[in-house]
Amino acid sequence: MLIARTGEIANGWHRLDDSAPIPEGGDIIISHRRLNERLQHETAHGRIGLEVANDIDVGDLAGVLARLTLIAVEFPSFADGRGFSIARRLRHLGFNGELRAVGPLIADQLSHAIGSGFDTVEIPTALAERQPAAHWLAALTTVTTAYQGNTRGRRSILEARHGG
Amino acid sequence: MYRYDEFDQAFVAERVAEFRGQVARRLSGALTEDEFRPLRLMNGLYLQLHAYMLRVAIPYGMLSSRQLRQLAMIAERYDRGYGHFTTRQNIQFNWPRLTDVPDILAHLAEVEMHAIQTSGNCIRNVTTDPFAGVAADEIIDPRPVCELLRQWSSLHPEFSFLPRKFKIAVTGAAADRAAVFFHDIGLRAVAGDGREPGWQVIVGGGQGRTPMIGAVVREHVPNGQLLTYIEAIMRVYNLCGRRDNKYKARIKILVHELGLEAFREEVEAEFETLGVSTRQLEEKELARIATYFSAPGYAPAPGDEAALTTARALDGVFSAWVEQNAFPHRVPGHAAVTVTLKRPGGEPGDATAAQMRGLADLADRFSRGELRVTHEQNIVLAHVRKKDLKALWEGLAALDLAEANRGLVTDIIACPGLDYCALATARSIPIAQKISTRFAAPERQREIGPLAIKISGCINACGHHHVGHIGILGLNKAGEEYYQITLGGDATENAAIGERAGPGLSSDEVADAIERLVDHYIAVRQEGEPFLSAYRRLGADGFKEALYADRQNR
Repeated sequence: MLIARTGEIANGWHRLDDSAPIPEGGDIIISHRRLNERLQHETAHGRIGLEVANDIDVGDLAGVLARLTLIAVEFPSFADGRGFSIARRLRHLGFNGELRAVGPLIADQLSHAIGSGFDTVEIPTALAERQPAAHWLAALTTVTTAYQGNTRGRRSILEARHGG
Repeated sequence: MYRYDEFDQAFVAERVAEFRGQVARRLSGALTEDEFRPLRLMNGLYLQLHAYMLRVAIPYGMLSSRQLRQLAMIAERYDRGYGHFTTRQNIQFNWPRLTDVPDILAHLAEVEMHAIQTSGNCIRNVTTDPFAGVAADEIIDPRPVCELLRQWSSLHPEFSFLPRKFKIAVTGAAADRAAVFFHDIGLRAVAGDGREPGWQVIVGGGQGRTPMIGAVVREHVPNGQLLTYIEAIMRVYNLCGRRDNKYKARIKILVHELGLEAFREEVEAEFETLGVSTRQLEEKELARIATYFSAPGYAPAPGDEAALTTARALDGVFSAWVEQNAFPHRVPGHAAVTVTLKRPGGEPGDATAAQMRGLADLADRFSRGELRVTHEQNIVLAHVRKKDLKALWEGLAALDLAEANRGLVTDIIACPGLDYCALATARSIPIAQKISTRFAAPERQREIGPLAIKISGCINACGHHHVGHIGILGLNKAGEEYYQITLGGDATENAAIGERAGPGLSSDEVADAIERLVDHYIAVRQEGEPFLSAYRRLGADGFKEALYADRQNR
């Protein structure tokens, strides 16, 4: 299930298996190890999404960010918060495409994901059965105030106080 | 003290609603216990040995009398009529029911309190000097920065799922009364030399199973850049801290493994990439918060000194209490008074609901309705007129809270230990009780002088045994509790980790051994030389011999 701040949304991206050939068209998400292969595949068209593990050095992506439309950051466990800092670093580097958190996050973390710079969260189907989209939206709308601003325009309490 | 505005109030109210929803989803099965655990921990709720335990945040130790009365009400309605003040300036309730917890949180929110982030792998309650704002040696009042950190760290989207818990302590004074060298981040005020007011940043200190003294990562960060600098540290830690082994996940291990220089480079590089746009906002917010902590208009009190001298001359017991428990105040005619929760034979840090209400009343009468909780598990009344000390002391005596033992041998720090805690390997409270009973005589305590005994019931060191002048660590071997003694620890600016003295002692041996140790110290000390100084001057050998004298004679 793919969740955004508005609730469940359709996933227009196709995640390409590492063993599958790179297609000529379509929006595909590829793994980090196939990035160069896709970038050098000059006849392929369609948008490029990149999936990265959460121990990546974000600085290594600086040179290719402009060619990526989506970056998916893996969360091996909801308790492993490295992905939130990776999102922040990508936003600081100027990445303005879709940032997606992928893995078994829980509903209560949608605000963390958005607050760190993610646009969407993609969770496994089994988890979605236990935690449907309504839970995610409810969690997000329960806490509407925050002391921290974010890169996607949320005003922090500090900004509201001081007219920032 | 700080008062919530409409934003703070809305935030805690939403957090209560959020937790109510989380409990409901746990009970319905939408959340597994594994998923629920960090959420309840981030609201201060532990599953302990016998029941849930709720740890309520007392941000940087500041309490109003109104808040303390509410804590008394909660202790009576939802617990067994008492609360336990902790070494992190919090209070714990040991017997709440899970289904009551959302209501308790709502009652806390009514008085501008919460239990947010008193546990879990997030930034915990920020701690500071209990004499903030009144200490004569203060350089910067640390409380505005503490409050800024409280707000900034609350439900931080990026830093709520860290490798491990994260503790920040702040001292604004020359003397360190906040143990800043033993926190993940310690901040010490710096000013002068033409620099704008700012902070020395210490990183990587801690106790637990791998005690370490923190190292200075930066000598000076100006006030308005502090959050940005801390954000840089947190990001480096969140990304690089170990997650493969919870015992190696604290920032002290990262600093140790990377080396201070490499760690500093990482932090400085991150700090450089962060813009300056938020820094002006921090300055504005600090200035706003600081207005809540402006010094109260103290009345001139020229006659107080004489009144106190007379009262002390007439009552030796009162005089001893003033001598021991009153801290010099920056305004003449005033004192900051420590009320110890350390009655010999009692449970260190515990207060009954009646005592909490009584303390709240005394705070209203004598100390502007404000109290501070100390990391030594005591309470400070920071604004007492000297002419009122006698009446305050009488009021405290009626509450059984007039012990004249601050900083003395019976002012023992102890964790809850095996009587409550699921992690503990041995009991702490009975050991504290045995020692404090042994040394109960007031003259004996004064004769011994300053001596910090700290007791932990397991290697996690919640009782701060590593920094006790005498540290006691409770362990368990083959079902038998035993106690390891460390000597020479120091939580102040002269930070030191205690050295293990030798083999463990049984619970029956501890009080005798400590008494031999103390007798040895008295025999070898110079005029006016405190225990710790004598230990440093003479070295460990004689003290160890005294500690184990009974074994050698057998």
